[in-house]
Amino acid sequence: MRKARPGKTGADTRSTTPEMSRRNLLRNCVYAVGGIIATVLGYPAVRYFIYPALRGRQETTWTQIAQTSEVPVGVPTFITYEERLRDGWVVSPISKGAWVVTKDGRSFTAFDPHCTHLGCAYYWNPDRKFFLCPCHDGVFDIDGNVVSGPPPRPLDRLESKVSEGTLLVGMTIKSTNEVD
Amino acid sequence: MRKDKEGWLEERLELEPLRAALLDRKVPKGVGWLYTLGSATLVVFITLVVTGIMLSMNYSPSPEHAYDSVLFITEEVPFGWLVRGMHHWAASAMVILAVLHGLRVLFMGGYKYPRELTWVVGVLLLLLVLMSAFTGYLLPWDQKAYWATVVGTNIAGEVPLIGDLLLKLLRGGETLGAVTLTRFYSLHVAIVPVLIASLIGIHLFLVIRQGISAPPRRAHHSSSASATK
Repeated sequence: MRKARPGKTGADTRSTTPEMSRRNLLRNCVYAVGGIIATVLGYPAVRYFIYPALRGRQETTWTQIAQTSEVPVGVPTFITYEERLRDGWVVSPISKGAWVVTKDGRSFTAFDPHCTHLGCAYYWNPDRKFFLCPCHDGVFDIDGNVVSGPPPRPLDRLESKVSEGTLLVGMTIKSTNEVD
Repeated sequence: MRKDKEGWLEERLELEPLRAALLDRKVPKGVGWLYTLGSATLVVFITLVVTGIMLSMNYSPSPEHAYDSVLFITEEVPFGWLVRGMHHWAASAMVILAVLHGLRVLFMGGYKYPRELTWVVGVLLLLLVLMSAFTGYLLPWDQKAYWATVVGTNIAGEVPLIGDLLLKLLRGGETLGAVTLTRFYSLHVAIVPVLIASLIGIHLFLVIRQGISAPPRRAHHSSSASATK
């Protein structure tokens, strides 16, 4: 029913140059504002999605495992502890253990309790004064060095520190083969 | 107008008539900001879908994990607080905007012939929006959510004859618990949004097909409903 009104041609000619019509200007403004909104909202959205790939190595979670005074000097001691493992919003305790060695009661070494050959649990033999692995006769000395058998490298150590008379351990650090 | 610089896609798909039909619609005289409420509701709905999908990436609908995973989103995930906040406020905004949009149509007489179908679909949409708001409210699984849902489902239980059935249907049993949470989650993320999106499709088709109604004119016997033809 409503047709273009012929009386208003002046207004029409002003706005019909294709490059500069009001229509084009408004459209470009819509695109520009839309682009700004998309950028401002897109950045958080992308970060929200990809953060697991960007996150670096997780911070060490330190676990208290013993009072330093309780660790016998000169005799390796097996200490069990529970580490709180964080997985997203789930925190679950996992049972772990470490062979702890101190020669002076002040500085401590914590060994990962798996043989570096195939991951068997080894034990301290107080008579021979060696760590022995029952699976393939791997033998380590009290400092974790390979004495004999198939293990390719010394025992792995745990990050450890002493704080106010308490021994704490962190993550396992793979040993390197400094001898060979 | 842009026949001379026709693009690669345009040459093959001839989308221009489609675009013109969707966007170059004639609009009756006298419409103003009140007529943007429907579009505003649509924008908020899209915001809810996008932020909702993002939230579902880190949310776990079980009594043991729901609250912790919501905390995880808010405190650990980069911009998780923003995504959750947008979803939270957009949810309230959608209820408010949908109601205002309905009131505008009501007071302007836009529901009258020939647009009754659009109105009916719109009322169904409002009910679904309320359903979405109700089911989403439980998901953080905090005290407020839990007890609000206890009260809300009790209200459904007061419906004559079928109240008891409704109550068990909503809760997935006699009491509110793990099954209620998963049911509400399923309704909230799968069933209701799909229904809303479908009805929005019908709603928009009707609006575009029929054009929007002109505002009623004072003391004038005019056929205001057909201003677009």
